[in-house]
Amino acid sequence: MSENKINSVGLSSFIYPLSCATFYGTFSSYMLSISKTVTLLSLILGYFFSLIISFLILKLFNAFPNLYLHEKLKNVYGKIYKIILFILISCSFMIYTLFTYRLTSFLSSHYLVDTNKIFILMLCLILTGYIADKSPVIITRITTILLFTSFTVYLFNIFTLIKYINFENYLPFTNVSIFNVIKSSIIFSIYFSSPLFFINLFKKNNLTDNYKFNKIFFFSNFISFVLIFISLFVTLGVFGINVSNLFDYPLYIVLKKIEVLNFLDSIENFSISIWLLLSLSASFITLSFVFNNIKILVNNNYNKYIILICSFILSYFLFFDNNLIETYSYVIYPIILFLIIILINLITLIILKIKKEDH
Amino acid sequence: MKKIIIIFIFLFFICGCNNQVEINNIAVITGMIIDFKNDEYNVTIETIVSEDDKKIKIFKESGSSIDEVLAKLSKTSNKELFISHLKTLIITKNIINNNINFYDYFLRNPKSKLNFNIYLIDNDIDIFNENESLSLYLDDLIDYNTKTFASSENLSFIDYIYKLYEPGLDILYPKLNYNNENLLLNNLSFIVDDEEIILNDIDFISFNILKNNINKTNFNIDCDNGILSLALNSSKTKYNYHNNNLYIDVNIDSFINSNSCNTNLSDNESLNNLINISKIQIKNNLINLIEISKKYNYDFLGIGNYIYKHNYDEYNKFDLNNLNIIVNVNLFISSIGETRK
Repeated sequence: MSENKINSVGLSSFIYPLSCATFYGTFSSYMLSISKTVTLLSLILGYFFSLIISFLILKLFNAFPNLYLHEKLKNVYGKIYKIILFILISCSFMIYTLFTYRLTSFLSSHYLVDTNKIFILMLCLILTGYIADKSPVIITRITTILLFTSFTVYLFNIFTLIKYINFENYLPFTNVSIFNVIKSSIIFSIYFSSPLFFINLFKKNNLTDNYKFNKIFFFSNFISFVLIFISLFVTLGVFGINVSNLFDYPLYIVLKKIEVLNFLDSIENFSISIWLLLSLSASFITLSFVFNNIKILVNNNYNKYIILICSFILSYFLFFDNNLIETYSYVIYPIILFLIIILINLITLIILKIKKEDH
Repeated sequence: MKKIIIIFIFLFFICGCNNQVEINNIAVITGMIIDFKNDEYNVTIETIVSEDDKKIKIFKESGSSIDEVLAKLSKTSNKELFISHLKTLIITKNIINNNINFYDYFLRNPKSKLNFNIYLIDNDIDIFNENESLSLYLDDLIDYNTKTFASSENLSFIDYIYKLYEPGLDILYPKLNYNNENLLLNNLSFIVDDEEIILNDIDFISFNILKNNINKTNFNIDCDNGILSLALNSSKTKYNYHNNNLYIDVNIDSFINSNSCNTNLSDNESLNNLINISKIQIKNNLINLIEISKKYNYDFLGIGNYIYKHNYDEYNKFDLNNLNIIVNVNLFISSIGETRK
């Protein structure tokens, strides 16, 4: 890997798409269906749980600031580091496939209804594959540009929807079991913070101002949470829990309410571009992590093509005929993958600590 | 260079232009009437076809589902039917009486925008004509009426769905009447056991006061040999539920528009007397409306919904007819106008 010098703000631009992407298209409907009107409280609880996971990820990132992830793993695990790296790459590859598949199913069910799903999947794979093949520095620049575009759209959405909020829609507050609230907040914390593991695309010494990174990391993490919180706050306030639960993509359907000055309406396809841009960014960041680390295991010029073809085949055979995936049952797959990643992160930190104490 | 060529080739094949339809080949559905008779949907659609200039075309068909009807209609029209710009959906009483699920099609269809307005009509009559778009006319009419006179209210499809799925909340429909080839936007109405109840103007103003939904309206108060016309500035209604008692506190801020009563408005005592008369009349109007809701056991005021949200544990025991409702009206007259008498 070449030396990639960026600043902390550049790397923190990864945090927004990675934290938010899965939430918009996948987790929001699941969370609303299990924690109902208490969803906002679940979100707040989940954020506090997620700080623990974020802290673990940051701790691994900060360890050996002059080493990349595979080098850290080599230091910690010795000879078996390639197996650990392989597991991480496999999980990341699966997460990437799920990201692109979910994006594809959304695009084909709401944007290009008459277009074959395979074409849309190919478009997503080629686009993300092309960007992920670029150097990580270029990826941070693309992410930053997409981020500012998304923020503009986001603010427009919120300001135009705020007038439709009915505060009665946050009630009743007592018809949800505590178990469901805790369950949804724990799952949210996994969804929200586990993808941040992919900041390990860089090593800490790549950052020109690495002493600032911890602060910026938690600040960006908090802003991502605020974005998600406001999105759900508005959706729940506008639709109420019963209508929100009718839809697979409530955060998209609520945008159909937008009407500006009595003539500008039906702009939900533009307004949802925030999710498309964040999803695309999260996809190519994850894929870039796969591309950069697979070189350590197999040094082959055709790696990226093989990965993209595998992703296509996996999406096609695993998901296309399975209607269950379209519903919120889909939520379980990313959780398993994220948990494996977090577990490896945790074990690595524990071994590191033991080794330090031994010395 | 090789990469760029590959990307261009792919973009050419897989962009959204796949299955594209020229605008001249589209018939934009602006209005739809749905009736249900003999286990069949009878659907009339008003479309705007853009060829050389705007043309309105009306199509009518029946079938066992709305989707089937639209598929049949595509055989009589050489254009692709486009539902995204639907403005007006008119349903007949049959749909309500038979509790027909007409909305599922619009909820599931990704091209449906969910923000079109719903109206109620007695029968499936041919109100669409090819000279003028009735749907666009209705769209403007209800907008103007709601904003200026507050004597009717639009019911958007997504609001309809909201009310349908919210517990303890029944739906009021904007009613269309068609007499001697004239279309009239009637007041809000509801149907219970095949009987249609239409709210009058006073009921609707009371409804808006109770729902905190009032914009701008006038109401007349009968006084000594005359009429006092009050214009409403603002209104705030608060609810409080306790032990099967619902306390409704209404605070109205208004000003006098015109006065033909034998009252000297510059005299405090006379003015207070007038305010008291007004309060009693407004209170009676509100109680009348609540009684209508109780009589038909049709909770269009959403009292059950209030209890469901604020006193969830007591919602299961809730019975509108046994509920004790206590209304208190506070009226403020902030201005008596330019004249002092």
